[in-house]
Amino acid sequence: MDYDQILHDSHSRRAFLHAAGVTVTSGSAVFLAACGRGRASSASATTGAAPRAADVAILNNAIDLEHRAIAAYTAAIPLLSSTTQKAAKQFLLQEFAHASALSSLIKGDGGKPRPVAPSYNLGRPRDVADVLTLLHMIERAAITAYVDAIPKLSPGTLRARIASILANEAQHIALVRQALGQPPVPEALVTGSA
Amino acid sequence: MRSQLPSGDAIVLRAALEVEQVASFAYEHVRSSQPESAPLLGTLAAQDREHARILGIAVRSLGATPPQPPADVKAAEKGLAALHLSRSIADVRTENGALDFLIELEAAAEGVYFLAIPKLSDSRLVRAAAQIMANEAQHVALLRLLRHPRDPARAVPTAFVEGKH
Repeated sequence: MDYDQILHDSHSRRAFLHAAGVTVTSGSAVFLAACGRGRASSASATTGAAPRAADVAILNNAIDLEHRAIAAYTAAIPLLSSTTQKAAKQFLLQEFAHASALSSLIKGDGGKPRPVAPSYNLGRPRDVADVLTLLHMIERAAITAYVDAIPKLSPGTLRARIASILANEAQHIALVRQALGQPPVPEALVTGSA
Repeated sequence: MRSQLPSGDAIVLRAALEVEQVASFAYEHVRSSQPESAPLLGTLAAQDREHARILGIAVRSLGATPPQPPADVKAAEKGLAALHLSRSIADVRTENGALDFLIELEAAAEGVYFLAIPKLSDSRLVRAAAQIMANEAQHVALLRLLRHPRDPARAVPTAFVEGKH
């Protein structure tokens, strides 16, 4: 599925989420899970570019985390208050954009982007605080992974491009922490530990 | 004979340190006249000082001499001029004016790190630069939120944070 199409077309976004099997059931206990029919991406190896296997592996780990974040925000948005919801919708679109960029980078390195997983166990958040805690956990995991990944990538602009995604995830977690009533910027060097 | 010239990494970090020093000065100068936003500005200023401290250690460990922090407004304005901002410290007269100035300054800091990361050779410094850049991005988001408190979506307008460069 083409992420750029998803990003700019709400019908395609719905189709993506349906394919990913993201389900949200309202009730006393809400089970957030993506269960279903993840399909392989239509990406094929590009010709002419020397594959950089290490970069492809790192970027594919990152795309996994972006897919998980997309599933989490998609499931969380209906449960949030209107003001928080507006920001969360924007964050969701930004996670789509990250996944799209990572997909392009992987293809550019002659690799194949990892498809959406068959399922994402997102737990059983029961209220707004639980949902925000889930989003906090998802963003922390992404930040930790990006901080670890950036120095391992091939030197050059690729590192800066991934750092630009890390910086956006750091912004997300600051606002999520604020919504949780926690200090929004607890550390001068962002590690993902807070 | 060993060269006394600073390494490429030292030159890059020295430039980032100059921005952190100017930002720290600017926060202190602005904070004293902005009581409503002073607590948050105090946190952000402390984090910029911590960035400067860490960068100073790194610059010295590479055999280079850290720049002197600005001692007064005139010296700080000189540092700001190098960043090509549209506002200066002297222009700050209102709460919103202060926030607009700090947002632009922090965005310039983001841009310095975005450009620095591909130039650094030591992977530990690459990691630290990315972590500081992420923190600067948080600063920009929180300052925007303070500027537009009813619209949190406006605090994080772009998926790829490259700053002003």
